[in-house]
Amino acid sequence: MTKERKSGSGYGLSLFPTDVTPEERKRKIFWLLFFVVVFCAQVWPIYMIGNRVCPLILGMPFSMAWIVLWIIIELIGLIVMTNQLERR
Amino acid sequence: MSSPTIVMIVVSIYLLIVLVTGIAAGMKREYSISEYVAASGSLNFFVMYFLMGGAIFSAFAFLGGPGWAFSSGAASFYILAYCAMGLLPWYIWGPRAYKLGKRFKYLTQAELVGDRFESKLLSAIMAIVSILAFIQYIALQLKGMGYVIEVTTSGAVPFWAGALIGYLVILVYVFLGGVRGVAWTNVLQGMFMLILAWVLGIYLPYKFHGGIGPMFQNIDAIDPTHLVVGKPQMGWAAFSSAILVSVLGFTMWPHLFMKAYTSDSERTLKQTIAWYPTFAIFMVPVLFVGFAGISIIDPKTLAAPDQILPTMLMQIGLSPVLLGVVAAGTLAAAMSSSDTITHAAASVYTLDFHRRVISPNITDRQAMIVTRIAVVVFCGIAYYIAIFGAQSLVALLLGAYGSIVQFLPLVAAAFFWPRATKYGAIAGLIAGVLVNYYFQLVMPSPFEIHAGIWGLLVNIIVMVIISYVTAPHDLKHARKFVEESVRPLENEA
Repeated sequence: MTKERKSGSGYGLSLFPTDVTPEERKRKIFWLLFFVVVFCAQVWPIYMIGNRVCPLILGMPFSMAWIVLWIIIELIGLIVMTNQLERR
Repeated sequence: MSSPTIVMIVVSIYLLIVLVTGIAAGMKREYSISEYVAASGSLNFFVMYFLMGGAIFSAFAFLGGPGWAFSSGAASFYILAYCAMGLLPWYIWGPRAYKLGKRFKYLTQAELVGDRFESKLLSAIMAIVSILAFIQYIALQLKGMGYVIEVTTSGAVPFWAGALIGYLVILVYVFLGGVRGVAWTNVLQGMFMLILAWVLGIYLPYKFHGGIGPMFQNIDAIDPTHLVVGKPQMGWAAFSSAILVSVLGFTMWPHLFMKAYTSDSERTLKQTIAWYPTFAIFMVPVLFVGFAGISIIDPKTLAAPDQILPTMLMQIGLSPVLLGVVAAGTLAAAMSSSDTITHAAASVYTLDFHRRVISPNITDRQAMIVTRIAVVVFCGIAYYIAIFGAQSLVALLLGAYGSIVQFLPLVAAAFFWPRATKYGAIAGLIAGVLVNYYFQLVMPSPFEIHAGIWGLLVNIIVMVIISYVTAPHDLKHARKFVEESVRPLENEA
């Protein structure tokens, strides 16, 4: 029995609803990855790229502006995703 | 009139407005536990947004945030990251919990988990851990309130009285208004705090340093490591794992999780999550406040870094009216989270402990009475701890506070893993909580990684192993939670 079929009805992990279309599944995985990237950008080791004082952006040290930038990216992603899911 | 009198008049006006709002919101509503706990599932986006936002804008944010920025610098950016991402996992749990709540009439998190694992014991354990954590949380807010009033009135109103005043007001509107009272006062308090945060966050850097850019240049010149993450302030492992544990654990707080049942639709829930990172943006000026104190306030004159905001305000000789406004704003921050928590603690006690363990056949009316008594009792305990410290209890409470994230595997298993069993869930939870206590209180956590992460690892391993060696639940029962949590509700399809 493949893992996929098992996830449909038995005791196995059921990460997706049984009636999910491949396209929906792809979209969900895309957004999951998107938010994983957003998270990773704000922790070790990727954050080390942004972790410096200069240049100041809007008066903020670069390390702070970096986090703010990712928060804005996250916000835009969330709004796009929510609207996209709603339209369907 | 003396300055403390004017401050107290302003604060009193503010408290009166909150009180009236809170009581009015809950008036003329049906008298039922579902209304009291979850507003009968009828809150719209506007109210939900502030209800969830008010919960994170606590005394910690308003006093602790600047305190961190002042003492630990860039380590405080962790607050921004976690504020913004904390609600993300709710995109997974929220709509599922919402649908199950509508179908099976759940009002709390442990009702769902306890039902899935068919275990009263599990819901009782969750209730106990949550209530201990809640008491710690409320006590912190009370301290914040007492302190702000004490400082802004130059000691005319002592710490104990300040905490008492703030808390009595909360007590009254939580007692009478239920979650609707909490929600509407949060709207009011939320707007007030946002305005205040921006005004102070921009005014103070200009006042002391001539601007935000010059302020950070000054700080960089004094201490080049203050504005970057890493040693000596906070190591990378500690910083990263603290964000991870906060993001995973934030929505596991029962007072937040159970708000899925207050929402009027799935759409509202998703919109609330989508707009939540805006609260993190609002936290930016709050951190500016703390940074503005560097080189202006001598750290040695502060008893704790959290006192930086009121201390600075006293130093610039703000007019008593404005001082009153700031004191009221800080109270708003503390109150908007402690009201939610108080309300949740009482609801959790009644529904997950009292009804499950003590008297299962309680009527709706009796449940309401128990809930209200619980509100008063938990307030009393938290007040006692805030005023007298109660050292022996503090460790217990702190451990519980860090243990909330251990609910994660239970919730995830309920939605995604039908094979998980009652014994697996209980053993995992207990193991996770114990590991967390051990690394939080007994010995330092290995590699500076947050104790909660180690707890989670052990929790998951134990849950999986024990689940596989114990008999599974009825397949139909276990799958019900997987399927009914994604199947659209009839009236919304």
